[in-house]
Amino acid sequence: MQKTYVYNGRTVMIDLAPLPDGRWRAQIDGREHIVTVRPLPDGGVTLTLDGERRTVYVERAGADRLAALDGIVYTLSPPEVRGGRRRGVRPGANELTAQMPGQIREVLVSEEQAVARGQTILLLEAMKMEIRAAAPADGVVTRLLVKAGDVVERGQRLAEIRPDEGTEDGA
Amino acid sequence: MLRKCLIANRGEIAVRILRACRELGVRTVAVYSEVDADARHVHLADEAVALGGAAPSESYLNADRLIAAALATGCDCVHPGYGFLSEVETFAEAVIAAGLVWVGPPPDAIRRMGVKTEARALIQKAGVPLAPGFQSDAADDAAFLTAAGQIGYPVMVKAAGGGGGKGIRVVYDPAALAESLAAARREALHAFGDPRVYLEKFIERARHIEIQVFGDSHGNIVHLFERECSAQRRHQKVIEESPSPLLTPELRVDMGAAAVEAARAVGYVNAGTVEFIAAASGEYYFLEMNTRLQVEHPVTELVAGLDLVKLQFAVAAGEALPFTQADLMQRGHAIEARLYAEDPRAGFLPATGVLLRFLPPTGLGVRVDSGVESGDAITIHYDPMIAKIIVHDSTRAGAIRRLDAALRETTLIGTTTNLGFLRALVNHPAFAASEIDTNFIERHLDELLPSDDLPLPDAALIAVALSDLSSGRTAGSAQAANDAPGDPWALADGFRLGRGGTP
Repeated sequence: MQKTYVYNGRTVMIDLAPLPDGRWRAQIDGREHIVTVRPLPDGGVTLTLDGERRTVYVERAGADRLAALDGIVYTLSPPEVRGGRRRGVRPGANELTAQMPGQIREVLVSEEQAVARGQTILLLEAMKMEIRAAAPADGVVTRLLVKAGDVVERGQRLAEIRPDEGTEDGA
Repeated sequence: MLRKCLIANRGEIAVRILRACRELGVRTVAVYSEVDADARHVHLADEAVALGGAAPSESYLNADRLIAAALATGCDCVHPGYGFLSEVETFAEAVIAAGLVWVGPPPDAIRRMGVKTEARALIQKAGVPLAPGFQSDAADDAAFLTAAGQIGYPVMVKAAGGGGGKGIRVVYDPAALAESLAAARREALHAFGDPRVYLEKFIERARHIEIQVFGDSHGNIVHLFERECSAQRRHQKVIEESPSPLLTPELRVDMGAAAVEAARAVGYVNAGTVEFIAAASGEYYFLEMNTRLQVEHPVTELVAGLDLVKLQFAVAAGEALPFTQADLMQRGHAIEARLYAEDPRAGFLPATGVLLRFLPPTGLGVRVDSGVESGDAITIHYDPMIAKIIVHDSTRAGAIRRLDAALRETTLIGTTTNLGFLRALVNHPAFAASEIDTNFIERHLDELLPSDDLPLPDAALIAVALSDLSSGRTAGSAQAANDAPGDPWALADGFRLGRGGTP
């Protein structure tokens, strides 16, 4: 059976087939491995491939699969997500997103207010650290999506800003 | 002897103190905020008291609630840990006024070392080397400019009421001094409520060496040797070790004696740390004194062969130190790495998440101090440190290899961490050569950031595909639920242990 994932923006495919002797045959990008699989009592799995034993732990975070091997975590995503924002999508020029998870400490502007590029829109605080979220361009704040005290995730939209015409980069 | 202790902290240090109490037969009372109700330090304690909301001001920084909890549960002492209220002398005073024993230094010592300009004056009187500097509450900018010229550029502008690296500015050019003074005063006022600043010579390629000191209430003060913490990022320590490869035996004796003098100058009792800045030439200067147990205390414990927390309780109970300076020696080499939930590739901004799986390393000479386990969350409310991974071996080279192996063995899924960054730092040739100064990480960041495009090992891909087959629900393909032959993890015949080549 074939499986397809996305790793770092690239599509990776694997073909796995059980063998009569209990082992598995894995084909990846033209490479073939005969794999002995030993599930561990703690949920991990030890794979023996090409004579080498590797212990891997796999966990799920939503649709993503997180595999830990030798202190490094590899994230595999499904080939496509329907009806959802893809991770890593760049925010539009007219929206402000949270750079880190945290709590909104203070909102310094109001809706319909004109702001200058670099002007502080709000202060975000997490773990004793405070960062400023600044206007990406000259413009007008059209919507504020959070208020002081709200807890936000990394990448969450905080405000929408309509840039003034002619002030965007390259215009 | 003390009977029952309220631990006014959370996380790994609360767990560390709880364990020491258990060994001593001291009963324990944990405190917790609403998001910490199921935290490890709460589970390990004999009793636990809810303080309030997640915000530190409603919980771990709320002195009144902490003291009320200690009295209500019949405690006879309070251990503050580090951070939170550990260096707030009014809290220490309130604990003592409530008839409880404060497991820490005298409030007056906390206060006198807390105001940096006062500490400098005290230290100078005690004959401890101070970096050339200038302090005056009355001076105008012109006087600062003259002073800076006499000290010699570069100079640092520092906050009198500050600490922890906040508000420090380095000035290389007289023309920039006035502006830096103004900015530092604004920052100091905002951060510490005290706009006073002072000047200090900036030592380039500086090394951070600190001396652990310990005093008892009978007037004995000893030092427990040094820790080097030069691997820092924006004044936050990343890796600490002992002994410091920089120190000669003579310098060690010298700095140890200076640290003891500094502690004596404020009548110090209990555990404290005197921090110095050292130049490559061997000159060293007093930086500040931390009047609490430090995060990196395990490094000293391993090398000196002592339990500093148990010693804190003994001294707080009025016992004399059970050793003299001559009894103490350094054995082997210890290194600590701080594992943080943070994203090195995004400016080290803190990260959050549920630890889906956390398997700390184990083995000979590997110690892990942590307050979390699999299933716990790293939240936005508190420090993002997940664990301290501390190793000990007979030589520095051996300890470095042991630390790298321990980091490699650490499995942590569920939040972004600095694990790859730590391994790159530990494996950097400059670390092996002990050439790390306090700005090394900033200068060499490119070499220390893990690649954002590591090749995907086939084993990782195979394990993910197998786990998707086992669940029947898959990210890989829509029809996988049908084409999975069963559950290879537990059910499928082809997967069972004992079949095929697997004994």
